[in-house]
Amino acid sequence: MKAADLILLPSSLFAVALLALNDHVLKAQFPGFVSGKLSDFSGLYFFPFFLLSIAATVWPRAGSKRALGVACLLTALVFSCVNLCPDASELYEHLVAGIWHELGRTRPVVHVADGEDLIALPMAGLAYWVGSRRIRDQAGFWNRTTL
Amino acid sequence: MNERKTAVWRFLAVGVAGYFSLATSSEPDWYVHAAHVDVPPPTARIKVTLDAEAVIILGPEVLSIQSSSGVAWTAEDGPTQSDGHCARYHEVGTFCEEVPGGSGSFEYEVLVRPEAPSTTARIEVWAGGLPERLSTNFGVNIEVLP
Repeated sequence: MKAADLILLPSSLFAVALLALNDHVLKAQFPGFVSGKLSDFSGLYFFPFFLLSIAATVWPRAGSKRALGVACLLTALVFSCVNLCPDASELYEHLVAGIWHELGRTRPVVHVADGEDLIALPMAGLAYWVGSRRIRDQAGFWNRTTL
Repeated sequence: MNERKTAVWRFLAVGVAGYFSLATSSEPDWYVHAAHVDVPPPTARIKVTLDAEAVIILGPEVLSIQSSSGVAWTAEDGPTQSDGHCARYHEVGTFCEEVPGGSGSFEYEVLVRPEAPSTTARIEVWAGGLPERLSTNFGVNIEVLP
Protein backbone atom coordinates (compact mmCIF):
# COMPACT_ATOMS: atom_id res chain seq x y z
CA MET A 1 0.00 0.00 0.00
CA LYS A 2 1.25 3.49 -0.84
CA ALA A 3 1.77 5.68 2.20
CA ALA A 4 -0.65 8.27 0.81
CA ASP A 5 -3.38 5.61 0.84
CA LEU A 6 -3.07 4.73 4.52
CA ILE A 7 -6.01 7.07 5.09
CA LEU A 8 -8.09 4.46 3.24
CA LEU A 9 -7.31 1.71 5.73
CA PRO A 10 -10.58 0.40 7.23
CA SER A 11 -9.31 1.23 10.72
CA SER A 12 -8.55 4.79 9.61
CA LEU A 13 -11.96 5.28 8.00
CA PHE A 14 -13.56 3.80 11.11
CA ALA A 15 -11.67 6.33 13.26
CA VAL A 16 -12.90 9.22 11.08
CA ALA A 17 -16.47 7.93 11.32
CA LEU A 18 -16.12 7.51 15.08
CA LEU A 19 -14.84 11.08 15.45
CA ALA A 20 -17.78 12.42 13.45
CA LEU A 21 -20.31 10.33 15.37
CA ASN A 22 -18.84 11.30 18.71
CA ASP A 23 -18.56 15.02 18.00
CA HIS A 24 -21.97 15.40 16.43
CA VAL A 25 -24.08 12.87 18.33
CA LEU A 26 -22.50 11.15 21.31
CA LYS A 27 -21.06 14.24 23.03
CA ALA A 28 -24.52 15.79 23.15
CA GLN A 29 -26.44 12.59 23.94
CA PHE A 30 -24.02 11.08 26.44
CA PRO A 31 -21.78 13.81 27.83
CA GLY A 32 -19.07 12.45 30.05
CA PHE A 33 -15.59 11.04 30.26
CA VAL A 34 -15.89 8.51 27.42
CA SER A 35 -17.41 10.85 24.85
CA GLY A 36 -14.96 13.51 26.04
CA LYS A 37 -11.99 11.34 25.16
CA LEU A 38 -13.26 9.30 22.21
CA SER A 39 -12.55 12.06 19.69
CA ASP A 40 -8.99 12.38 21.00
CA PHE A 41 -8.38 8.67 20.58
CA SER A 42 -9.87 8.46 17.10
CA GLY A 43 -8.31 11.74 15.95
CA LEU A 44 -4.82 10.77 17.08
CA TYR A 45 -5.16 7.53 15.15
CA PHE A 46 -6.17 8.81 11.73
CA PHE A 47 -4.58 12.26 11.74
CA PRO A 48 -1.03 11.05 10.93
CA PHE A 49 -2.46 9.18 7.90
CA PHE A 50 -4.30 12.35 6.91
CA LEU A 51 -1.11 14.43 7.14
CA LEU A 52 0.89 11.81 5.27
CA SER A 53 -1.71 11.57 2.55
CA ILE A 54 -1.53 15.30 1.90
CA ALA A 55 2.27 15.37 2.13
CA ALA A 56 2.73 12.37 -0.15
CA THR A 57 0.32 13.77 -2.71
CA VAL A 58 2.15 17.08 -2.82
CA TRP A 59 5.63 15.58 -2.46
CA PRO A 60 5.82 11.88 -3.43
CA ARG A 61 9.10 11.37 -1.56
CA ALA A 62 7.15 11.90 1.67
CA GLY A 63 5.55 8.51 1.21
CA SER A 64 8.02 6.61 3.36
CA LYS A 65 8.04 4.89 6.71
CA ARG A 66 10.19 7.69 8.07
CA ALA A 67 7.66 10.27 6.87
CA LEU A 68 4.95 8.30 8.65
CA GLY A 69 7.04 8.49 11.81
CA VAL A 70 7.40 12.25 11.41
CA ALA A 71 3.63 12.61 10.87
CA CYS A 72 2.93 10.60 14.03
CA LEU A 73 5.46 12.57 16.07
CA LEU A 74 4.17 15.88 14.76
CA THR A 75 0.58 14.91 15.56
CA ALA A 76 1.54 13.83 19.09
CA LEU A 77 3.66 16.94 19.65
CA VAL A 78 1.03 19.44 18.52
CA PHE A 79 -1.68 17.57 20.43
CA SER A 80 0.45 17.68 23.59
CA CYS A 81 1.26 21.37 23.19
CA VAL A 82 -2.36 22.48 22.74
CA ASN A 83 -3.43 20.43 25.74
CA LEU A 84 -0.63 21.50 28.06
CA CYS A 85 -0.09 25.12 27.11
CA PRO A 86 -2.99 27.61 27.19
CA ASP A 87 -1.16 29.89 24.73
CA ALA A 88 -0.81 27.03 22.25
CA SER A 89 -4.47 26.20 22.78
CA GLU A 90 -5.41 29.78 21.99
CA LEU A 91 -3.17 29.78 18.92
CA TYR A 92 -4.84 26.58 17.79
CA GLU A 93 -8.27 28.19 18.18
CA HIS A 94 -7.17 31.19 16.10
CA LEU A 95 -5.62 28.96 13.45
CA VAL A 96 -8.68 26.74 13.06
CA ALA A 97 -11.03 29.73 13.14
CA GLY A 98 -8.81 31.34 10.48
CA ILE A 99 -9.05 28.27 8.27
CA TRP A 100 -12.84 28.27 8.62
CA HIS A 101 -12.84 31.96 7.76
CA GLU A 102 -10.74 31.30 4.64
CA LEU A 103 -13.21 28.60 3.69
CA GLY A 104 -15.97 31.19 3.87
CA ARG A 105 -17.54 30.04 7.11
CA THR A 106 -17.48 31.69 10.48
CA ARG A 107 -17.86 29.44 13.46
CA PRO A 108 -16.75 29.64 17.06
CA VAL A 109 -13.76 27.42 17.79
CA VAL A 110 -13.37 26.44 21.39
CA HIS A 111 -10.54 24.29 22.60
CA VAL A 112 -10.18 23.42 26.23
CA ALA A 113 -6.59 22.59 27.16
CA ASP A 114 -6.78 19.44 29.22
CA GLY A 115 -3.65 17.55 30.18
CA GLU A 116 -5.79 14.50 30.88
CA ASP A 117 -6.37 14.16 27.13
CA LEU A 118 -2.78 13.02 26.79
CA ILE A 119 -3.90 9.51 27.75
CA ALA A 120 -4.85 9.21 24.07
CA LEU A 121 -1.25 9.72 22.89
CA PRO A 122 -0.52 5.99 22.42
CA MET A 123 -2.95 6.09 19.49
CA ALA A 124 -0.30 7.98 17.49
CA GLY A 125 2.09 5.12 18.24
CA LEU A 126 -0.54 2.62 17.20
CA ALA A 127 -1.01 4.54 13.95
CA TYR A 128 2.73 4.27 13.31
CA TRP A 129 2.74 0.54 14.08
CA VAL A 130 -0.24 -0.20 11.83
CA GLY A 131 0.89 2.14 9.05
CA SER A 132 4.52 1.07 8.96
CA ARG A 133 3.49 -2.60 8.78
CA ARG A 134 1.29 -1.88 5.77
CA ILE A 135 4.03 0.06 4.01
CA ARG A 136 6.66 -2.55 4.85
CA ASP A 137 4.40 -5.46 3.92
CA GLN A 138 3.83 -3.96 0.53
CA ALA A 139 7.56 -3.32 0.08
CA GLY A 140 8.20 -6.93 1.01
CA PHE A 141 5.63 -8.05 -1.53
CA TRP A 142 7.31 -6.02 -4.27
CA ASN A 143 10.74 -7.29 -3.25
CA ARG A 144 9.55 -10.89 -3.33
CA THR A 145 7.87 -10.34 -6.69
CA THR A 146 11.01 -8.80 -8.14
CA LEU A 147 13.15 -11.68 -6.87
CA MET B 1 -8.86 -1.01 -7.41
CA ASN B 2 -7.14 0.92 -10.15
CA GLU B 3 -4.91 3.92 -9.55
CA ARG B 4 -7.46 6.51 -10.59
CA LYS B 5 -10.24 5.10 -8.41
CA THR B 6 -7.88 4.93 -5.46
CA ALA B 7 -6.91 8.55 -5.99
CA VAL B 8 -10.57 9.59 -6.01
CA TRP B 9 -11.28 7.65 -2.81
CA ARG B 10 -8.16 9.09 -1.20
CA PHE B 11 -9.21 12.61 -2.16
CA LEU B 12 -12.65 12.00 -0.65
CA ALA B 13 -11.23 10.48 2.52
CA VAL B 14 -8.81 13.38 2.98
CA GLY B 15 -11.64 15.87 2.51
CA VAL B 16 -13.92 14.15 5.00
CA ALA B 17 -11.10 13.62 7.54
CA GLY B 18 -10.03 17.25 7.13
CA TYR B 19 -13.56 18.55 7.61
CA PHE B 20 -14.17 16.57 10.78
CA SER B 21 -10.72 17.42 12.11
CA LEU B 22 -11.51 21.12 11.76
CA ALA B 23 -15.01 20.69 13.18
CA THR B 24 -13.88 18.85 16.28
CA SER B 25 -13.65 21.80 18.63
CA SER B 26 -15.31 21.54 22.03
CA GLU B 27 -18.77 22.96 22.27
CA PRO B 28 -18.81 26.27 24.17
CA ASP B 29 -20.59 25.88 27.49
CA TRP B 30 -20.95 29.61 28.18
CA TYR B 31 -22.09 32.44 25.93
CA VAL B 32 -22.19 36.18 26.39
CA HIS B 33 -24.25 38.90 24.81
CA ALA B 34 -22.57 42.26 25.15
CA ALA B 35 -23.76 45.85 25.19
CA HIS B 36 -22.04 49.07 26.16
CA VAL B 37 -22.65 52.66 27.16
CA ASP B 38 -20.36 55.68 27.29
CA VAL B 39 -20.73 57.62 30.50
CA PRO B 40 -19.15 60.83 31.77
CA PRO B 41 -16.84 60.46 34.79
CA PRO B 42 -16.73 60.36 37.75
CA THR B 43 -20.00 58.56 38.56
CA ALA B 44 -22.73 57.05 36.48
CA ARG B 45 -25.94 55.27 37.25
CA ILE B 46 -27.08 52.63 34.86
CA LYS B 47 -30.03 50.28 34.78
CA VAL B 48 -29.39 46.86 33.33
CA THR B 49 -32.25 44.61 32.31
CA LEU B 50 -31.36 41.16 31.15
CA ASP B 51 -32.35 37.58 30.50
CA ALA B 52 -29.28 35.63 31.49
CA GLU B 53 -27.64 33.65 34.26
CA ALA B 54 -25.13 36.35 35.19
CA VAL B 55 -24.33 39.99 34.59
CA ILE B 56 -20.71 41.02 34.10
CA ILE B 57 -19.55 44.64 34.02
CA LEU B 58 -16.18 45.65 32.64
CA GLY B 59 -14.37 48.83 31.84
CA PRO B 60 -10.72 49.83 32.06
CA GLU B 61 -11.66 53.06 33.79
CA VAL B 62 -14.17 51.57 36.23
CA LEU B 63 -13.04 51.91 39.84
CA SER B 64 -16.00 50.55 41.77
CA ILE B 65 -19.52 49.30 41.30
CA GLN B 66 -22.40 49.24 43.75
CA SER B 67 -25.37 47.10 42.77
CA SER B 68 -28.97 47.58 43.85
CA SER B 69 -28.81 43.96 44.98
CA GLY B 70 -26.22 44.91 47.57
CA VAL B 71 -23.16 43.50 45.83
CA ALA B 72 -20.24 45.90 45.96
CA TRP B 73 -17.00 45.65 44.03
CA THR B 74 -13.82 47.67 43.61
CA ALA B 75 -11.05 47.35 41.04
CA GLU B 76 -8.74 45.89 43.68
CA ASP B 77 -11.18 43.12 44.51
CA GLY B 78 -10.93 39.57 43.29
CA PRO B 79 -13.98 37.64 42.19
CA THR B 80 -17.24 39.02 43.50
CA GLN B 81 -18.72 35.56 44.11
CA SER B 82 -17.10 32.34 45.10
CA ASP B 83 -19.53 29.92 43.52
CA GLY B 84 -22.06 29.65 40.71
CA HIS B 85 -21.64 30.86 37.15
CA CYS B 86 -19.56 33.88 38.14
CA ALA B 87 -16.93 31.75 39.87
CA ARG B 88 -16.88 29.26 37.02
CA TYR B 89 -16.64 31.61 34.07
CA HIS B 90 -15.44 34.94 35.41
CA GLU B 91 -13.00 34.08 38.12
CA VAL B 92 -10.75 36.99 37.18
CA GLY B 93 -11.22 40.33 38.86
CA THR B 94 -14.26 41.63 37.07
CA PHE B 95 -17.61 42.51 38.51
CA CYS B 96 -20.04 39.67 38.18
CA GLU B 97 -23.27 38.78 39.88
CA GLU B 98 -25.77 36.01 39.42
CA VAL B 99 -29.22 36.78 38.07
CA PRO B 100 -31.75 34.98 40.29
CA GLY B 101 -34.35 33.19 38.19
CA GLY B 102 -32.47 33.94 34.97
CA SER B 103 -34.17 37.28 34.40
CA GLY B 104 -34.06 40.59 36.18
CA SER B 105 -33.25 44.24 36.42
CA PHE B 106 -30.46 45.89 38.40
CA GLU B 107 -29.34 49.42 39.02
CA TYR B 108 -25.64 50.09 39.32
CA GLU B 109 -23.72 53.05 40.57
CA VAL B 110 -20.42 53.02 38.79
CA LEU B 111 -17.42 55.08 39.86
CA VAL B 112 -15.22 55.90 36.89
CA ARG B 113 -11.60 57.07 36.99
CA PRO B 114 -11.82 60.89 37.09
CA GLU B 115 -8.54 61.45 35.24
CA ALA B 116 -9.81 59.48 32.29
CA PRO B 117 -8.18 60.81 29.12
CA SER B 118 -11.44 60.88 27.20
CA THR B 119 -14.48 62.83 28.20
CA THR B 120 -16.50 59.67 28.50
CA ALA B 121 -15.69 56.23 29.79
CA ARG B 122 -16.94 53.06 28.19
CA ILE B 123 -18.76 50.53 30.35
CA GLU B 124 -19.34 47.10 28.88
CA VAL B 125 -22.09 44.91 30.20
CA TRP B 126 -22.21 41.22 29.35
CA ALA B 127 -25.11 38.90 29.82
CA GLY B 128 -23.72 35.43 30.41
CA GLY B 129 -25.81 32.39 29.60
CA LEU B 130 -25.72 28.66 29.24
CA PRO B 131 -26.14 27.05 25.77
CA GLU B 132 -29.86 26.47 26.48
CA ARG B 133 -30.20 30.27 26.48
CA LEU B 134 -29.58 30.38 22.76
CA SER B 135 -33.02 28.93 22.07
CA THR B 136 -34.83 31.02 24.68
CA ASN B 137 -34.72 34.62 25.90
CA PHE B 138 -31.17 35.87 26.06
CA GLY B 139 -29.98 39.43 26.02
CA VAL B 140 -29.11 42.63 27.82
CA ASN B 141 -30.35 46.18 27.74
CA ILE B 142 -28.67 49.18 29.38
CA GLU B 143 -30.20 52.49 30.28
CA VAL B 144 -28.23 55.43 31.64
CA LEU B 145 -30.10 56.95 34.58
CA PRO B 146 -29.98 60.66 35.38
